[in-house]
Amino acid sequence: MSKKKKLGLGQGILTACMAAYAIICLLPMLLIVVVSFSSDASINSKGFSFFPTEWSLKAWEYVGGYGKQLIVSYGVTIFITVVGTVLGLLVMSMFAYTLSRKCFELRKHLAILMLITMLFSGGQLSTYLVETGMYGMKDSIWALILPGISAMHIIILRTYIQSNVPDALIESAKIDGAGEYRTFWQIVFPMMKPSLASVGFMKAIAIWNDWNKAYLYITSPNKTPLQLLLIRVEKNIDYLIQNQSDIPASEYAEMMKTLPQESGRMAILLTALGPIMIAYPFFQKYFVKGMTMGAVKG
Amino acid sequence: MRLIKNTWKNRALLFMALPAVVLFILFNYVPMFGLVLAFKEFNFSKGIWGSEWCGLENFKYLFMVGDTAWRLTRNTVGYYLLFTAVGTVANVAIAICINEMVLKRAAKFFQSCMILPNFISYIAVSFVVYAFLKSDTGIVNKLLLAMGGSNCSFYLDAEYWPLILLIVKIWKETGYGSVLYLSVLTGIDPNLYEAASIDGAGSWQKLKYITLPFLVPMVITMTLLGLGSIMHSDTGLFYQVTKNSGALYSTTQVFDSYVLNSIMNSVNYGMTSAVTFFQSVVGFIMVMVTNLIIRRYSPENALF
Repeated sequence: MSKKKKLGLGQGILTACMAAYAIICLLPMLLIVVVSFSSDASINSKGFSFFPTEWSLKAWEYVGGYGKQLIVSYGVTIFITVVGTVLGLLVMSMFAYTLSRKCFELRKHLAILMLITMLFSGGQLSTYLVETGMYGMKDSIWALILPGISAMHIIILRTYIQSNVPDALIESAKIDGAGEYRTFWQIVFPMMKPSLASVGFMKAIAIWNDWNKAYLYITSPNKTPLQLLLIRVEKNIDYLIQNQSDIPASEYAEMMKTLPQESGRMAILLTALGPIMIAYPFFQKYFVKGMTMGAVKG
Repeated sequence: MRLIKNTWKNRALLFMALPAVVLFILFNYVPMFGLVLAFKEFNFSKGIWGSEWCGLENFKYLFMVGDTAWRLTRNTVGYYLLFTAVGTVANVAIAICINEMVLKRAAKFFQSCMILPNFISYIAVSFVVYAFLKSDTGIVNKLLLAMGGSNCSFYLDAEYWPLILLIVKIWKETGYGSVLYLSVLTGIDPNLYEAASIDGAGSWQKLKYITLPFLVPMVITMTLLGLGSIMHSDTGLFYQVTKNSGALYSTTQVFDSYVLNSIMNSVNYGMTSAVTFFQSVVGFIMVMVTNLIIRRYSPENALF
């Protein structure tokens, strides 16, 4: 890159093109916001639009008034994301540490055990039948948390340990009388922080956005995570009020008529997307790092 | 014997590895053996292990009756090739453009905007796609009407979906995909460009003879790494975004969405188990072949 490039015509066009593409990437998000504040009448007559003829808060009243299921789903999603990420990181970092210890001869066999899982898988059907039939995980929240370790992430962690934690440091800890656990927890684990952050965020987003598992396993409303709630709401917008027994039948029928269909869906979607949008600027850099870490395999 | 001794000496390490080993066995290895279901007649009450053997019956159905096997393979591999080809070009193009921008702050901001769609679940994407494609009130249909065209029921018309899915995929993943190429570009020595300028090279020549050759190894690596997943597709894209609409199956159904659909409807486990078996075995062969190729051409990127 030449040091002093002029802001000429070429640069202008390039910048404009990139700006246009960046806007295209953001437009769908804007559409969600606009539609959630549009009135259903406007959507029905003019169609989905960035410029509705009539604004309305009805969708948000609906979400605010009957959002109990939303709060439950938020709780479930936050629970599985936090527990799944923390457990996954613990298990994976310990395994990565044992793989990185050269004095441990069994590590080669353990590495093979891990690699095979990258090469061959039982597929969705057999996994589903084993987990529901043998482990009884149908409609269990553990189905969303437990099978959460990936060979790729372990390789990232192991590579990070190998290139950033010198063997001499571990040796000297040993000489000073620290056992394996202590060496790991007090010396290696704190040094792994950057890699743990990257893998942790990748894992957290994957769990937060995962709908496939929940779709297959979860049936009861009080274990429904956000993504599954979105699927249910997409099918029928009245899902939120279905599970509220305190609404009398006559009132229920009346409400069904006035439910904000399309805008209601978008409002629910926006409440589910909100946290990721807000947290995005903070975790973005960890993903960029994680991507380059993963590509440079040891 | 020495191995056992060494393991005993390092039993603390063994204990640390144990949780992961248990998880691998429970959730990866046991399901692998569950693939024997492809050779059995599945019976709900008896489960995978108790069901009766039936030989190659399931495969006979899969390959002889209808065109399921051919359709799924064609769609899965076809979309894989399409996404890889267009995706790679888009990733490289965006990376080069961002790298060429002089206003670095703006470039960084634009890049953030482009990466954002990557963090949105396909469920959310399917809501947005629906708003665009819905018949009558969808944005695309309104535009078609405004331009004098006629209303189009996208969810019933299979022929448009390869293009629709390609656009959604590129929109969602290009920003993040270009990150890696950008990291290669920022690593190129600026003196190279300067020397080229002194020798009278224009920006087009610099792009052709300096930038692109630097990117080629990364392109090859990423393509080879991706080959391992040729038999797998994102169900979010193929099941949710298409709303699992039966009218679209001819151009949108892939292995994973077929399997998901039959699990959800509890139908036809026999044929489905044959499908997953086929998918796993071909996937395995692809990874092995890919790895052989990588080992020959760039050993440092080989998986094993």
